[in-house]
Amino acid sequence: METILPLLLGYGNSLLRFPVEGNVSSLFRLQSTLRWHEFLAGLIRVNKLSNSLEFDTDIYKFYAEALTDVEDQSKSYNCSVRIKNINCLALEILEENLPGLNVSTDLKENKKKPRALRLSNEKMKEETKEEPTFEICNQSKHAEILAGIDIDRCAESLKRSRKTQLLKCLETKIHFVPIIKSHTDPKLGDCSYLDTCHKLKTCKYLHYYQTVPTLAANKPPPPNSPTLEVLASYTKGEPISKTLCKQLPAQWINCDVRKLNFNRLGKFAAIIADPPWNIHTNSIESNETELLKIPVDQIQDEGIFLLWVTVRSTSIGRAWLLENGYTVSSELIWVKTNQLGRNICTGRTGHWLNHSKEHLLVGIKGRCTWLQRGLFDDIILASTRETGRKPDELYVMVEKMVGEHARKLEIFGKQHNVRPGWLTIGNQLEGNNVVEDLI
Amino acid sequence: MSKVEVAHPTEKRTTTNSNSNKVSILLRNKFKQKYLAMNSAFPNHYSHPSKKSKQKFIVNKSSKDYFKNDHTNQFIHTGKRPIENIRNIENPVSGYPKLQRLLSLKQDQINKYRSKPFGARVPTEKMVETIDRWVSKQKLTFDVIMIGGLSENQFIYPLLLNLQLDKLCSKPGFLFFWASTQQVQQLTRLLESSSWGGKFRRSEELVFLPVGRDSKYIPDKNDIPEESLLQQKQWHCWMCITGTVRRSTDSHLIHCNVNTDIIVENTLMTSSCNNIVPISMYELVENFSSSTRRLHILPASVGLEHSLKLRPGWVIVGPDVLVDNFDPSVYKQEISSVGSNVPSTDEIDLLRPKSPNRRLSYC
Repeated sequence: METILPLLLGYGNSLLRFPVEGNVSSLFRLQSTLRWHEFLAGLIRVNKLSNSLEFDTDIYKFYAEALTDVEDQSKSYNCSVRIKNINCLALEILEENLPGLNVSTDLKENKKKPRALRLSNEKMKEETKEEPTFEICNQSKHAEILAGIDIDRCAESLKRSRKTQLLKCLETKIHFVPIIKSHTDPKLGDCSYLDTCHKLKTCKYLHYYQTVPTLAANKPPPPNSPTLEVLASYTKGEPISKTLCKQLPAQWINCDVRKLNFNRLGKFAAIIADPPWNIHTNSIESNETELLKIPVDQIQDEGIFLLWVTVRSTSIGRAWLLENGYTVSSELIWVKTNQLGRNICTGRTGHWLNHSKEHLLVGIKGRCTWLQRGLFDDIILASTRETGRKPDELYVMVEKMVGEHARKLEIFGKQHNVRPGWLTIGNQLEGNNVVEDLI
Repeated sequence: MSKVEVAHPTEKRTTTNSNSNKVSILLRNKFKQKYLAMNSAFPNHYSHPSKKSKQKFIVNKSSKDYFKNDHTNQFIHTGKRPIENIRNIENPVSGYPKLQRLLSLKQDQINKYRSKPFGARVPTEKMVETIDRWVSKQKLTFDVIMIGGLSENQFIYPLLLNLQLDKLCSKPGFLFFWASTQQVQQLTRLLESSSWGGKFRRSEELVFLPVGRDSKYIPDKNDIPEESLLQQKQWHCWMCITGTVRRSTDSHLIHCNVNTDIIVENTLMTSSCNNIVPISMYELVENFSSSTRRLHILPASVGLEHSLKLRPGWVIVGPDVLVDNFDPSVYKQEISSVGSNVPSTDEIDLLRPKSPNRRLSYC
């Protein structure tokens, strides 16, 4: 311990420049003049000398939390990375030496997060309505029993046969019950397409219907809408007062993207494009896509560009983003799930391997100090819908990153893509709906 | 309620900036209110006397009504990572008995026709030289070559540039190349470089996803979130092909569409073993190519965080290989007795996914 700590703190022997006796009162007297890690080192030292835990582990926990508060520390030291590493090390040493101390996993996760990010996380939580989520029951026995009874009257029959456990499970978890028809052969296993199967009337494979706890149907009342106070206290990338700036309704223009005069659209903070890549073209040269012709510098000075790509087009997409002044900082993966919440493993046509994910390149242009970074993982988990339709979760993520009131554009969008706060352009939209003057 | 109390002591006690202190108190109060509102809303719903007799779940029979969990929303409110919700992490093919049978048959067959595990301990600085010798003097070739693993330090651009991969890899041959999101750009450059002669075509992009907050496989744990737009939780593996192979006619060489292009960390397996390459990745490669000549190159030390185990059927070369038993002439003998390809069986051929006939003309 004595050898690690000075090393850890980078202060050599000057670390223990205060007199350490066998009790803590002297330490507390010095508290105001010491830095957090010095104080902690002192605490450990005192415990070593007195050979007993003099105080509650809660106190250690509190100081451990203080240590995790990286940003405050780094301000006073102008050396954020070093301090961050020191703090992480100190935490680990603390945990090793004090068996009573369990720094929660939340805390561990947080120790890496700057304060700004933690505030943003809390704010995001505040401003987003919580949707109910339910676990999916993993007991195959439950599904078997349910398949054998009349589901519409199952509550009574389950009570009669005293299967109260199953009844309770039905009230808290989602169940998938196999539909057994005369043409079904249960031995074959699940249908590759499940609820999206086009041949439901003849398909021999298993399909399922669903039971959901009632809360999903009667969603809990939305929590009180956020007050002005909260909104004004901490903002990043948003207008100072949201009440003065209403979010625009969904707007769309039916047009040929190649011929549109982009100069009149104005600038956008975020752009999503899902271009019609020509997947059957083998050579890159002949793959002339509409995307390559878009004068992107006319519609974005700084911001993010999100580009859906396929295996074949990812290199073209990357090169195009780089050419237009973007850095490709991240790649977002949409992990596709089926009706049963499983990652799709069959029935989808990839050429060499089955495809159960899609890639979204994330390009950033400019400094974008207003951008909310690090809020999400680079993964979306969502089920598949109509062919080619991408998950709506992406919109939520982008809105949190650039702000709900920022101008956002979707190129090559369809009618199901229109959304408040977004302008959608593409040639498969129904008419036009534009409220902004400038267009 | 106790949860609310412990959740934010940090802000309260340590903030020196009065402004952000205010925010956190405000946020905390809001959180309390909401928590109370929700707490009261949920039990009331259940205990309401008139609803007591009613069923507490509903049945959705039409796909239009299906309820779907919103995992992004769940992440915002609970911090549970979306990937943790996948239900087939432990058994990716659950629900598909035919596919399960196929995979176990294939593994049996692969285990029957495989070389013993070989390791070649070669320091980083001698890697290029050793491979050169294998190519020019011993005339060694491999059909499957994997490079790197779940560690950023394995990607040493100048070293890789000088590897005579095009000569080491036979035609048709398959290359599996690991990289992090940041390294993908360099990887593109590498494949287009003149020394590799553009001989490898990028054919699939595999992704490995670590599960759990404390997974050993989370890339660059010291990443400061402020510097990247999203928190990086993925590894890429490019599958490249050299030479000509057709999926409809070359079933003696490859079996397509057996595995998918995603490997989710199987927490059951990785809790006991933190191999630099997940075992399921080796299995995926073996399921795809029937070749028995497989090489795995690890240019740099795997470090203390990961272990490196030999695998039957593979030659593993790197500075940290524990068993140094590779001898090119012994290996050639071994392969000639095993055979250069794993033969298929009638049942495997019946079960494996095949290309539809109408696609025969298209590669």
